[in-house]
Amino acid sequence: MMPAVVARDLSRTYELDGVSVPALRGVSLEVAAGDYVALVGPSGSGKSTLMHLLGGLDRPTAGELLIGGRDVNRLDPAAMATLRNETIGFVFQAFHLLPRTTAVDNVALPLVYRGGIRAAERRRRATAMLARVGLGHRLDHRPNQLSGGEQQRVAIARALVTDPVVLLADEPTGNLDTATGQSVLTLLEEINAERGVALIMVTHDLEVAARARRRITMRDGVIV
Amino acid sequence: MRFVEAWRVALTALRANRLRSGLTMLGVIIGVAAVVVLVAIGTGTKNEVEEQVEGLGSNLLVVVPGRVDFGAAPTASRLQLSDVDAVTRIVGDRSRVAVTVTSGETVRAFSKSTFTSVLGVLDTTPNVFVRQVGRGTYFNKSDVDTQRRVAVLGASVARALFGDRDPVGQQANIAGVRFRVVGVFAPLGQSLGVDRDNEVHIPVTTAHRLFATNRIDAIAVKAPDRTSIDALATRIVAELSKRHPETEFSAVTQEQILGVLGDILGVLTGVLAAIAGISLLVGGVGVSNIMLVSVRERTREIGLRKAVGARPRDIGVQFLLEAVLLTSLGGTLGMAIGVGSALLVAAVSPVPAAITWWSLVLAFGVSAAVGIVFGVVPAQRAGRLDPVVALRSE
Ligand SMILES: Nc1ncnc2c1ncn2[C@@H]1O[C@H](COP(=O)(O)OP(=O)(O)O)[C@@H](O)[C@H]1O
Ligand SMILES: [Mg+2]
Repeated sequence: MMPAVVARDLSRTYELDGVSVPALRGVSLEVAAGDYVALVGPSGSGKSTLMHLLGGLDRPTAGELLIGGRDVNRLDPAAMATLRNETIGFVFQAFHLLPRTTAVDNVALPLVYRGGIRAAERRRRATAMLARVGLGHRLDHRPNQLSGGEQQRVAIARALVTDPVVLLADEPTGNLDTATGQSVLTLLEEINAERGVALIMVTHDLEVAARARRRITMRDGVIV
Repeated sequence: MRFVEAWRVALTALRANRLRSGLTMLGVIIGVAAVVVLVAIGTGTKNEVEEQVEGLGSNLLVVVPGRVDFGAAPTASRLQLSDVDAVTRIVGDRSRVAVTVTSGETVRAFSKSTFTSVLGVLDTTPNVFVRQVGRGTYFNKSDVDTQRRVAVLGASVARALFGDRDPVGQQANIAGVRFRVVGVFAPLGQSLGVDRDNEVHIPVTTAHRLFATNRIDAIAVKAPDRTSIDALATRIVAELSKRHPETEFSAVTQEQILGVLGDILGVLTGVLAAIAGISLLVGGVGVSNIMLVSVRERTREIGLRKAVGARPRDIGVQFLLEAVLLTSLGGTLGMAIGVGSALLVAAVSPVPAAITWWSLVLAFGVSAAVGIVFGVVPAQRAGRLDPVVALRSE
């Protein structure tokens, strides 16, 4: 089976006021389909930078990156958008739900940008996904009517509604209390197991890291 | 599907910021309304003036001493009745030749008096110009030949002096001399705020004695048909120049007058439209401004939409639609307000206004175009936002 992501000698250097900040310095890794990878390392070690690259949100300064078999260096911005839409699900620490928009509409948003799916079908799929994350009774609630844990579940449903190859979660429990965080982690692990979607998660929780099938540790922009 | 979403998002965004959207639209509303009203007034004025010139009669030719040049000082006339006879010989038909000598005089009847233009004219005047006598009759050739003191009053003069009484057969005193009223003109009404019924016609011979002059201000000829106007004009000017070698004469045709007036009023309309267009432009700049603010405010939303698969174009279209929606909504409202104001102006003031479909199409098209032009930059900026940077913004 084709690996979900392949990275070879990736580097990413930020230019900040004329100063070069090398956030990634030659990272190579391969994540198999359905794999479960925990990404750990101290703050500032480049975890988020790597996640953004793997999620097609950013481009490497140098190196080769294949996401779902597609070479991101050859994709224009529109094709990158399509790649994100079809291949990747991203769960952010800050949830990033659209305000003033219901849970079901938030979840259906990626399907809108996929195109060619009728509104009724989008709603059906979003509803099913919300039911899966335990929010079948919160369809028409807006983010400000939901708890933090519920908001993150909506975000997870949104990441999964397009049936992605890779699910990227950057400190998904960082804004949640321990108990709520645990249930969100459990949900992510269940989904990884039952759907065969590769899960790459940044975490500081060593117990979680121990549960993952693989653990990747970063320091100063390289894998150690 | 994506396009429908873009519409939905644009509408939602406008509704979410009702006050801001309204104020932004105001600039466009005012601009479009101004274009519609000013073009309507310009067009209305042009129509009215043209109607009047055409209403004078057809195939008219007016000969005056001096050069017809806007801004040139009027030349003292040396034309006399003998010149009129010469012109009549060229035309070959006395009933086609009219003359005027004009003076402002006070006219009295009973205890009333009014100041008006007194025109010394020939009995042929109603034939040459379109002028209808409402009551009584016009004077005839023998009145002219014998310098009879008879007068035909304009409707306003008749009303001012006689009120509801019938003036025909009554006495009127013009510049201290007694006249008998033989007729009253049918009313012509106002045009451009000028009362066209405020005049009195008397025989030109009588006028010469009354005004103590023998000059003729202008000679008007009604050509038998359109094609003979120019040849007639040339011959008349040549004859008059021979008789008065020291004076220059000009013949003006109705078509020339229409052409000159049309040009002037066309330029006027254009200038008005351009002034209004500037306010529309200012409105457009306002739209651009607000769209940039909107993009900045919604940077995180843009980042998220991009993260889940919105292409640069999807985001650009969304913001462009928002701008176009703003301006075309403003344009529609502005059009309604403009049409309403133009009708109001025409109804309650002497200023004429004519709504033309092209000004509406133009105003709406321009406002939609303003939305596109001034929406493009903010939309492009939104479309090009880096998703990572956008998501991090607060
Ligand atoms: N947009 C940016 N511009 C400049 N420097 C950045 C930017 N994003 C991250 N960095 C720097 O890159 C390094 C890695 O950051 P990051 O990937 O966020 O680390 P982590 O997620 O592991 O905490 C840090 O030194 C950080 O300051
Ligand atoms: Mg981080």
